[in-house]
Parts: sequence; C-alpha cells; structure tokens
Amino acid sequence: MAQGVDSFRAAVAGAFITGASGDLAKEEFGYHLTPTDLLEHIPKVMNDPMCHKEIHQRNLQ
Amino acid sequence: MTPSSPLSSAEARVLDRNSEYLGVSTLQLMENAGRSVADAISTRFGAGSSVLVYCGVGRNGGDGMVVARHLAARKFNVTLRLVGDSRTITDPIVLQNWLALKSMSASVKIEECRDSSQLSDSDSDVLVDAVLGTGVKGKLRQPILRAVQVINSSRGFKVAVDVPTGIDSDMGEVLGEAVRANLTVTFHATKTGLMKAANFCGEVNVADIGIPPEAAIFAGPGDVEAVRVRRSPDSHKGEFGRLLVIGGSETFTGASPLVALAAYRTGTDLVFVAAPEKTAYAISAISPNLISIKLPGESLALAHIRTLREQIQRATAIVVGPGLGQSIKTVTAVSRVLEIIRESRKPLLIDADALRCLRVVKKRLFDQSTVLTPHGGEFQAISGKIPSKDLKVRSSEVKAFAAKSGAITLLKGSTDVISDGERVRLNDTGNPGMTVGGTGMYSLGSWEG
Repeated sequence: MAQGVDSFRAAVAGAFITGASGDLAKEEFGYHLTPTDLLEHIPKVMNDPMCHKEIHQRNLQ
Repeated sequence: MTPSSPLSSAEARVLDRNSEYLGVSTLQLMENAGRSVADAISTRFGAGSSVLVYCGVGRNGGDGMVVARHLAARKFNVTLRLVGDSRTITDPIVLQNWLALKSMSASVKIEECRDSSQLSDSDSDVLVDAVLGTGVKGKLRQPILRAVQVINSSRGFKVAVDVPTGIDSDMGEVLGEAVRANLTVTFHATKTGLMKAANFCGEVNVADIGIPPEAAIFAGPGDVEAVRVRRSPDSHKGEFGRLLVIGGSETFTGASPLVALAAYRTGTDLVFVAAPEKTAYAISAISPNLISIKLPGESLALAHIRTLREQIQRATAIVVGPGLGQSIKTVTAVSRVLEIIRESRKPLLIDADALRCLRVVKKRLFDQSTVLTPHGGEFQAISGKIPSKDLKVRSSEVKAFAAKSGAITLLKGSTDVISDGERVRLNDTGNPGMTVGGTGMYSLGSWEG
C-alpha cells in the first residue's frame, strides 16, 4: 500500500505473503516460531512466491 | 473476478500463475487452449482442408503450435509459419511444443520466416493468427506487421487465437494495424479490449481451458507477482513509499516495530514509528533501521495530534493500531487520528487495538483506501457479532461488513477472508504456529508491498 498498489490487491497479496513466510519459518523451526522468524522469510516469498507450491501440495497429502 | 467478467491481461496472468500453483500447469492450459481452437475449426471445416497457422515466438505462438498438431492429427493439410527466429523461443513450454512440431515432418510443413520478405499471401482455406496475445503494448514491428498484412489480404477464413494480433487486449486500441478475424477464440473469459475492437474480432467464442475456479478465489503467487513494484536503477530513497506506523504504549513495545520491520522487508523505503517517548526510545534500540517519532507521555493522547498531523502529511501510507492499548485517552485520540487520515485520503491500515477503539461500526466510515485486519475477536468488536465457523457464511459476513463500513476487510483465521464489499478472496497459507502473540501483525507489514 505504501508503494502505491491498489489496497484490495495489496491485502490479498499480503495475506499470501504473511502465511507463506510463516510456513517457510515452520519448515525451519517447527512450531517454535517467533514473530521475527517470519520476517526473515518475507523477501524470499516476495521474490519467488511459487516456492510455496511444494508446501501447499504436501499439505494436501 | 467472476468467471464471466472480462479479464485484463494482468488478471489473465494471475489466473495462469495461480493455476500453476494449484497443480494445473501452464503447459496443460496451453494444450487445452490450442485444442479448443482446433475444435472450433473442426466444426466448420473437414479433413483435407488447408490450414496455415501463423505463430509468434511467445506463448500465443505456443497455442498456435498446439492447434497445428491437433489439426494434423485430424488429417487437415497443415502449414505452420513461424513469424520470427526459432532461436529466440526462450519460454520452455513454447519450446517444448515447437520441438514436438519439428518432429512432425510427415504431417506438418514448417516455414521459418525471420524476415518480412519471406511472408506472402496464401490460398489456404483457414488462416490461424497465433502471433501475439494479451498484454502487448506499442506499435507492431516487422516481421509481425507484414504477417498481419498477409493474413488480412488472404481470402481464407481467419481465426484469431485469444486476441487478434495488433489489438491491445486491455484497451481495445489498434497497434498500427491488426488482423481482421472472422472468429476469435478467447480463453477462459473475454478480454476487456475485445468489445471495443469488435470490428476486428468477428464472432467471439469463449473457450474453457480448465483453469480451476479456485485460481480466482484463493490468493496465490500470481497475486503476489501482480503487486510487486519494479525498481529502476535511478530510483531514489522515498520513491517506494514512506510508511508511518502509529502504535505502541508503555505496555506493548514489540508490536509496532515488528510491523515496521516487515514493511522494510517488503520493500518500503522509509518507515517511521510514532510511539510514546519511552517506547519510542526502546523501538530505536531494537533496530537501527527504525526511525521513531517520540510522543510525550505514556500512551497516545489528543496532545499528540499536531505532531501526528505533520507526519501523516508526509507519509504515503499509515498503519494505526499495533500495541496502542485501549485507555480512554487513547480511544479518543485514535478516533481523531483516523479522522485526519480519512481527510487526507491516504492508504490506511487499521489493526489490533485501534480496531477495538472503533467499537461497532454502524455506518460507512471508510472508503477503499482503508484496510481493516481484524482477527475473530476484533471482528466481533467492530461488527457486533461472532464470525461463523462455516467458511461460506463467514465470507458473506465479511463481505457484508466491508460493504457497510466501506473499508476493505481482512478477517484473519485458519483461512483468511478478504473482501471489498463486492469481491471475496480467500487465503490458505499459514499454520497454527503463527497464532503466537504478535505474529498476526505481519499481515500488516507485508501489505505495505
């Protein structure tokens, strides 16, 4: 939003990024997550959001 | 984005990418797309008819290669003209289809036309235009321009794949010259520009290509890619946003700096955190990246309005809420701050304590520049009712609340529900480990992207 993106689209993307960052953090730390663990994964999800596909598909099995 | 509403090229790309994420690859969609065009031709012409397929080197060309393969299998007399140099085919799925065709030397005649002089009229029964697809901007250049001219001057039945080449699929403008098709087979839904360019499209058929409806419902990689802001090498500090976070109190130091740090991670240039002074010093100590604005006293109060007004004027977006607390003084100050931000019409995100300060929202307080990010309990505080456990019911509750309040509403949960009062989207990423206090804050920071 601060960068001038339409708010609805930013909200949808933000929800995905937040959750996906949390999932990547969980891969590393299990359920022993702290808020700062998520932070570190935000850039990875933003640069390559498709990296979450593997986790998505594993969750379905 | 209902299935029947026209798509922009950006929306079409989001659907392709989300579909890939859900397990239906772009290669599969390309196969279905090409096959649907072959089907449309087969209902009008029979085996033995001559078909000339003009393909570009991109994805639209890839669709055309699939058309050629299917028609060859149905015993049409198929020639494929590649408009451009095959060495410039870089997309792996286009290359895969190109190589498949190259091995069909017994059933398809291939002509590679790197130069416009190699293109001439033909007397084929059917001409397929798979040169350029959606999202093309700028005037056509050679050899594509020549391809458009020879397609138009040929006498056969002309079929455009997705969009006639030379039509801007978003605006409907003609990019210099455009193919005049008898039939346009467009994929998944019509495109916003096709209505305006009706003279060029001929009959328009919408073909289903197997995109799961969920690609338009659940947030996916396509949605993230669509909001990423490109940076040029000469961009300057502040060009990618100045975010102001108003939050923190003596009790809750951690929440607002987390939001601020997350905003940096999403690419916001400058983040300012306004907080009561002791908290502000603590925030500055947490990270040298954070710039804090020190408000005298222990919690947010009306005395800070003047300072905050100046900061709001300088910001490109504002977050209000994390760690504010809910003292009576703070509740009064929050409502005044929100008024000032609303008058400025700047993007605003309201979370956590500031949501509770709102109390039950009974009228249209906001517009679409405001986003509210309640969890279940906060949603109850602002809507007056506990959100349903049933996802369908919950979706309609969020939609109704968004319509009433005017604000985009994101209800956090194991499945997030996001609505602007008309559209509803869901998000399934995340895990139970994230319910640790403070983790919910990230939705805020991330949004600043």
